[in-house]
Amino acid sequence: MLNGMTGGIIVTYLITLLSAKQSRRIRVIENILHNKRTVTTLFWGMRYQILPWLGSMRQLERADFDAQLSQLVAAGLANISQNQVLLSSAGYQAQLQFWQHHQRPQFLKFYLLGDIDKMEKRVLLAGQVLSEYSFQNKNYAPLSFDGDELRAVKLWFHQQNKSNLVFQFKQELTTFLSTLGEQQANFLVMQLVGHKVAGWSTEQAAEQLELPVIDATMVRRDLWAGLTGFFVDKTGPMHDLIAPLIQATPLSHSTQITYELFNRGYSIEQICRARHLKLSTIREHLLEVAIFLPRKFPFQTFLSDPVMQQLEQHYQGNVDQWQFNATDKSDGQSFFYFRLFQIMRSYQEYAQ
Amino acid sequence: MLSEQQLTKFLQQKFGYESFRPGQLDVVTAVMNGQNTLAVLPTGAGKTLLYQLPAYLMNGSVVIVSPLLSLMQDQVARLRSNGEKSVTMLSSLQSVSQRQATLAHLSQFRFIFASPEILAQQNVSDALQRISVSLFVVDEAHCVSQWGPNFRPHYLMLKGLIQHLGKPTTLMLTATATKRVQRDILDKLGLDKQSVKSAVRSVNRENIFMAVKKLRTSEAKNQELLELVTQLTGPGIIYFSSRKQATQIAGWLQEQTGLAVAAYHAGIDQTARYKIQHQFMQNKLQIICATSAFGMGIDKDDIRFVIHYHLCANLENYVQEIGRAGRDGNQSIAILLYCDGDERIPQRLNQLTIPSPQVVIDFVSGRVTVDQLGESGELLSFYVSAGWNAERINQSFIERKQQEKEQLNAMLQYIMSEHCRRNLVLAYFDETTMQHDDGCCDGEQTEWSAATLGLQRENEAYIVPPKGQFNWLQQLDSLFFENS
Repeated sequence: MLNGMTGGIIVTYLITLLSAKQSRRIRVIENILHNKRTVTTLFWGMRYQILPWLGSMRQLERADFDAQLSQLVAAGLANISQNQVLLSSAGYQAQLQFWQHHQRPQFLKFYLLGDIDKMEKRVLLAGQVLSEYSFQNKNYAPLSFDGDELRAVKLWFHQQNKSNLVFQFKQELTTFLSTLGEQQANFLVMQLVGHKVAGWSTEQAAEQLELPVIDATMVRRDLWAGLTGFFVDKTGPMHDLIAPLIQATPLSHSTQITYELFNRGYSIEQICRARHLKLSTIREHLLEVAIFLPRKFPFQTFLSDPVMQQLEQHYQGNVDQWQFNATDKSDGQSFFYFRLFQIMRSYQEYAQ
Repeated sequence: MLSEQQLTKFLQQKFGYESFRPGQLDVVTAVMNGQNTLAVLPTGAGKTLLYQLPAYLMNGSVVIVSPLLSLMQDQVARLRSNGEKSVTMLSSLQSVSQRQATLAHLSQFRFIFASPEILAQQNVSDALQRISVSLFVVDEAHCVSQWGPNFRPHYLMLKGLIQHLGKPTTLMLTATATKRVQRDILDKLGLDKQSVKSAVRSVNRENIFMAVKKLRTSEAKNQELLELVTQLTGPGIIYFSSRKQATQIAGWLQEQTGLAVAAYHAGIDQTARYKIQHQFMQNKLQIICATSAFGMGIDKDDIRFVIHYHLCANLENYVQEIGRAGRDGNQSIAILLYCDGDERIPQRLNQLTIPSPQVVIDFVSGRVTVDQLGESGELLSFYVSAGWNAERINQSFIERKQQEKEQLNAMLQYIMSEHCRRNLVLAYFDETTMQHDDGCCDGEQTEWSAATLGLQRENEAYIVPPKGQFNWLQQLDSLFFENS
């Protein structure tokens, strides 16, 4: 617990989501952690480069979040003005120091492959089922009370070839765990539950492995994301188990549909008609696609040369500072172009 | 109708028990004869068997009304670990589609658990009406009788549901109920007192020594707690009225004693709860620090001590909680730690849940909405929909406050008494008192120690495993048995 102490307060991973150069909207950070996915949140989440943390703390209470920020402010590590937070130079030092004492996430690139909490629950349940099966015990209380979860694992179990399922599953786990450090492999395996093995809670595992609790929570999520990423393109029982939970893209379901129609050559207007949705909604969907899949997004389709020239003339320098000024605010088209242009420039900036 | 021998044989085959515990056979027989039954049996008397056994011998499904999700989960887990598959739980955890799927196949389930709130939903009661309900069980039946702010109004709707289902045999289960509460339960469920079989066993658990320690400060209390857990043999439960303290003290005790201690309460996620519960059952944990609402379903016979870090709001709860000790019949102990002013915690909780007379008036006249009041808003709107005016509601709250005060006073009398504590409890539950002796309680200036009760810690088991010994490869081998 004490490892995170700086100037008498407990510094959490929140400090790693802040910047000393870029004022960041407090509610955007909160909404990202919470998985409140408005396009504005996603856009700024991208600008702050914190999108991987989307939905990583769905249970977050506003009071707790605000209290953590207030602590940083009270300790002189951050300043808040107009609902935006900026690290002070002491805060910047504290951030650097934080990284010296705490684990860094290793598997950020896999965080949006799906709901990581669900991956964890599913692998734990399947592990328990196989463990009990390997001891030929049928009388046990499953880890989960969620009917869908139980059904999914049952279905998976029935579809697998039982002759060497236990061996294979164990082998797959071993292969993945061997890619990790000793402490991390121990930490992950400590969480597994099975025949006469109750498993360790996160806090207990952290205590055993002398890992600060705040690190343990992050590492837990990170490792399950790592496992997901490891098996996403493999074949075998573990892949079959998690495949139904893997999302091909981080897009929301509705955006996904819009994107498919768009890929089939539908115009925005045609999509509106086909889906009985407002123009503004479809534009938001497209912005979401541009944010998450900038490499695939055909910016030029929307930003014709004359439009692009105009935007380039108006908007230069730091993308964060651009102020939208338009004559036709009524139909939202120029704002759509403006946002797309911001996304495109950001993408080019990050690609450099 | 099966004979006593046949029932006993079935008990042995299906449940692996040699014989019925006192009171069980009586209730099982009554239930199988279709007689509505009120069973007041102390914690640890084997109440779940009273509906589980008939469930296998009667046609149709058993519906179990339960007040708490965690309690339902414990029961479901226990049934599943006995190999029972046809069990379901209608709960707030289900999605709409899950609920619909369950309701569509309801007759497949031998055991259907549900909260009174869910049973009040039209589609649920209709689905139940379509199937054959062999037995309708109201678990923790004293909840029916509670009223005022802590009351769950939907319990009152069970009466209508029982009618709606064609009056299936109804079994009411509770560990503690005074005569007044017993009458009230039957009344609220619309059951005829004359025809209801009543099986009431004493709340007295002779193998649990009862003691109170009065301390001056919270530091002294912690010190006392530390000494007790160092001296007493485990496993044990320590009850707290706050999650935060349960967590803090669990960490502190583990640090101080090297014993394996964990917190267990509703703030801990479900997977961790599962793990802690099973560690405790597998004797890998020595002590659980729990909040009162929790640990209701911990199924462990050899708990040697129950310590209350905070007092309960009433003797009913206290007796129920200490009843988790010594289910195996062996010597056990219940200790309550008390500092002056501790009673302010339940007092404050009681006050918090009671809306002021003005709020009630504002609510009834529509100036305040349900959303603005939260939980007490739901209660108020229930009363309003039942046609109560502000005056009547306020009157009921005043009476409730009075009753809570009296109950708390009884709890305090138990703490302050210099006479036999056990007899005080027996008198409270209208039972015959008994002769005090050295193995009874610390009243009447009775000296006791862990050693005199044979509860002295001897082994050094349950200590936290030394750090740095865990090996994930070995652990995988223990988890997955390979036949080769």
